[in-house]
Amino acid sequence: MKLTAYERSILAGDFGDEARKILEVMVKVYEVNGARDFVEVGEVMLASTQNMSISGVAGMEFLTSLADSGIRFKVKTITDPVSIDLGAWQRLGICEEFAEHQQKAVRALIKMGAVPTWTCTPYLVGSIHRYGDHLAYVETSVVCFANSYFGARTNREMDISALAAAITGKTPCYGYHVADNREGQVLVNVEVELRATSDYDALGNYVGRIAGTRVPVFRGMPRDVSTQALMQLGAALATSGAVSLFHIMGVTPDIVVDPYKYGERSVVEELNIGEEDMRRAYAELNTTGETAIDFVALGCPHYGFEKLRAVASFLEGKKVREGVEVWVCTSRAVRDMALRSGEVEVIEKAGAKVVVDTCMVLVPVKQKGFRTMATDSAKAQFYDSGFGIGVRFGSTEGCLRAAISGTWEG
Amino acid sequence: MSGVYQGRSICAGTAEGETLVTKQGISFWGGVDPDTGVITEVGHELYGKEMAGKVLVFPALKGSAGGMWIIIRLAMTKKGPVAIILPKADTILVGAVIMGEIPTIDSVPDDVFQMVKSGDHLKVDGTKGTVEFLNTG
Repeated sequence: MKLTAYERSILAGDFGDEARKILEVMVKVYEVNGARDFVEVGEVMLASTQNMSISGVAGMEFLTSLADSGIRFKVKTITDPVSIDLGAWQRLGICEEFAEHQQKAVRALIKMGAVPTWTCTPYLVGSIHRYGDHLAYVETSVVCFANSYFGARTNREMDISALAAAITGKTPCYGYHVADNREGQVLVNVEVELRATSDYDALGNYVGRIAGTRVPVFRGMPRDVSTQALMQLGAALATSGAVSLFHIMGVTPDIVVDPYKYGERSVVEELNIGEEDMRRAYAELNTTGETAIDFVALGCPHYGFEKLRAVASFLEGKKVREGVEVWVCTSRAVRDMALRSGEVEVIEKAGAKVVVDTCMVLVPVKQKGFRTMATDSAKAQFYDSGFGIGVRFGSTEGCLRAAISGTWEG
Repeated sequence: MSGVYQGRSICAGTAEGETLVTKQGISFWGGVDPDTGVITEVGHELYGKEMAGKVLVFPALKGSAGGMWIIIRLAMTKKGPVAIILPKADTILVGAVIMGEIPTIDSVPDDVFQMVKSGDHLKVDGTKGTVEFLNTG
């Protein structure tokens, strides 16, 4: 295993226990996965800065000590959303102690050189990559997107291995960094017309459960499928299963480069998706029969500009029903553009909130007393159901209609 | 069962204790109470069992990568296993046990998994990569 003098010095404890352990993890991950070499990574993405997934106060102290040790990130390191709106946390009814706790982790990460993206759609705000680029990402929806859409190469990292990559600029070469491990395994024949972006959520959720950790290959999807639709598809596949890469015939780069290798050679299972499967896929995502909606949560993953514009266009001149909380989640960067072009004003005038830096999955929404949520995202459906909230899943328009009427009509 | 068996070191350190054995995967995120270390996954064969102070013998992690933080937190609060033995460590588990300083070995002979049962007394040497059965009688 080739280690630099700097890396050996970290392993010897010269930068403290936190950094030493992070590099010990890197060395062991290399051994356990039978890696033969390291690859240089162009970008790292960290995820669990959030209060809810890091190990309580101990996790925050860990990041603070690491930052104080003098460790700095060697490559561009971007950040997933956190559990508060960093500019206006009071707006979402979050308590001060919780917010301060979160701010501590944020300060530590920025001190080490992290880019304060705080979004799960970083590719909409500058994280774009070339075919074959190596990355080390944690956020599962972005792992799926970067591997599939760009044909970049990343494993589904965890926070510590990603921190190791941020500190060293490299990652053990195994798994999805190796072309032969990227071949499609489950062929999915799409025999229905996919229209709304939520159709891609439903399809992804359905296929993800069957694919598990394997690589699905989609046949029969339109060549002009929107980027937003592929964001939704990847997030859903990564949530119901542990999919890190998918191919779409005629669309995504690996399979365009070599249709036989990625689309045929390793396929071991074939599925056909018809109208009946899609109907079932939607039904499975509706976990309650309740029709009274008190929370509408859109933007998982964080919406792009076009979706914000579509929501503004729907809400213009309308009013959200009293007693219904509506969150439209996006990145701060996209929100700032929509502030200037007027969409944010339209959305907020209607009584909805444009939420940035965080989302319906990371804020402890159950404590806010919501009972029944409407969403257009399979990923949000999964996590918020887990918090004990009843969920109605459907199209973006269906959710917005429920925001106005307070009633789910599908 | 008795004797010493050689595996592979995943995390250094030694610990001994009573075993908690399952043939089912464990999801620490959502399947284990992060405050008490009690297994809460409905239908799991270890449902309601505590991990604190035990040598955990299980086939693999399952579920969210966030489970790593739960293992680390349990280790810090002494509510988690004192040592872990499993067939093959994955990336998430490596992160958890090194950060949580939990002596851990993998790749021990299959016999160990065939014969070990809950309540056996084991000594795990994560540095040497060995496990010793300390059962008497």
